[in-house]
Amino acid sequence: MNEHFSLERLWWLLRADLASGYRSLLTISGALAGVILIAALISFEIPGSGQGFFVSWYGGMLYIWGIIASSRAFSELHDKNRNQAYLLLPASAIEKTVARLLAVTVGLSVYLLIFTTAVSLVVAGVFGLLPGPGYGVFNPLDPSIWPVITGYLFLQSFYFLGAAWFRRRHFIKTTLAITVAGIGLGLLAFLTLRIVFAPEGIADVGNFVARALGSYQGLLQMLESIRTVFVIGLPVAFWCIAWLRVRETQVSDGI
Amino acid sequence: MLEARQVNFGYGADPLFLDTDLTLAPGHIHGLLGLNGAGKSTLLKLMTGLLFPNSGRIDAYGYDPARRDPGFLARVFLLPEELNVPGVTGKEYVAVRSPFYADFDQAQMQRYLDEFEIPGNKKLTALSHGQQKKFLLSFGLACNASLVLLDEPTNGLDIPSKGLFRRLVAESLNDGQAIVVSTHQVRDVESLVDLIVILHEGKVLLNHAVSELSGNLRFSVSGNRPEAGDGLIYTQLTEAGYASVWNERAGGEGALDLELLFKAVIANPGTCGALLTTENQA
Repeated sequence: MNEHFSLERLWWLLRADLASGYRSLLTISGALAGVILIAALISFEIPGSGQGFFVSWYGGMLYIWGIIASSRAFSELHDKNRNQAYLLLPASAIEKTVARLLAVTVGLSVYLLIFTTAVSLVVAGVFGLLPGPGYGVFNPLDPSIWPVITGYLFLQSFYFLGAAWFRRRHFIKTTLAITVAGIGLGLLAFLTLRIVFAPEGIADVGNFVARALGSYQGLLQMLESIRTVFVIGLPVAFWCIAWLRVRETQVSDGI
Repeated sequence: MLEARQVNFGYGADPLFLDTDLTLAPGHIHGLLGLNGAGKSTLLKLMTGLLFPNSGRIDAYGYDPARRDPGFLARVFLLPEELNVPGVTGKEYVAVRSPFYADFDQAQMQRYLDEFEIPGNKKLTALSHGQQKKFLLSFGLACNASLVLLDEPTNGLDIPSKGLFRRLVAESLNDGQAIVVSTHQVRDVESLVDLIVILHEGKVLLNHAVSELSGNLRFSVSGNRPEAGDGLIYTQLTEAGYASVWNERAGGEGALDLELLFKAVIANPGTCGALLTTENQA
């Protein structure tokens, strides 16, 4: 038996999560479908320009639902009434982590694409009964979707780690941690610039950046590469830390 | 086979186990007895990897429980004292959980459910506490795990169910399996267990086969208070008279009384220790 990773066990975990969560999924989906239909009927969107409308809805649902789901990804882990059953389920910590990660990233993104497409078809059908031009159907392969998904994957990794790391109030604590880290990094950058530009003062930063970009052709590409590494590396690092946290959790961590 | 050696564990600064040793032999039903707070549930959690020892070593069928390897978890089942079942039907629960256990027997599960009269198509959260316990017990026994740990399994069971519980647990035991019944309700498991483990103040005071205890100790009830000496280990006034525990040289004739034995061991750990070694002799 492979003690680390098995696709079969991963599938069983996903199936178990779906079995216990599909009722909530259907309830939320039903409510959202109703809200979108009403919003489409009363919106001031020009008929035929539905893609922008549905992309907005898709992004909103993915971010709000996804962030909440990511914050609750390991809710059993810190619940003294439920963590025994979860920890004793015969699967490795990495399988349990990957199962939850897949559910709140790939699973939710794809589900919402299908869901939004289905709702857009219903909306188009309703508009077809009304006089005037129809309402466009959502295209799930539209290029404008990808930045929404990649942005979500980056942001959700913070909340996914927060779900594994914090024992309670995962969403609030993660949001606070992001805010504090953002302020801290901002201050660090400000102090660094103050020190570097001590003779001229901070007001000269704009000129310096302009000169540097003009002088060094590769600087922009380098900054872009660093950003790419950051955007990919940070989520991966956070997901790995979440896995380590799951591996080290004991029932005494339950509250 | 589970072996714990020199295990130390405590919550915060308070030590609970100090260099504790324990051996659980397969093919037996162990009765784990101890006062409230003695650490019975904690010991079960250490055995299953739900808690990690501060130091020492636990070896369960070749696995370190603290690693929680899937191969180990598939060979262990813990019925906790506090139940928390998911909001799914019994059939759904079995469908999604049973694949994780290679030796799970669906026919066995159905037989247990039938015997306990538990409906499989009802949501588990809609069942009573006793029914939930019987459902999970059925599932645990049907998993045919090598190590089955039952924490206060008879709490919440009605009287007929307690008898049924004893029969089903005894029937399900196989040669490679160790079953541990942790309880302070010794009367419920007196006829079930064949090895007694007594836990007290972080130590295993006793780990012996019932047959050996019956051979080495005598139990009696008399109207008069017995005189100290002549092999008397412990005596206590009960509603039936003075219940006493004697060493084998004495003349008591009563059958093994687990509750009395437990009290005797707790009250006289030194005396009982002299009569019986603490290592499992089974």
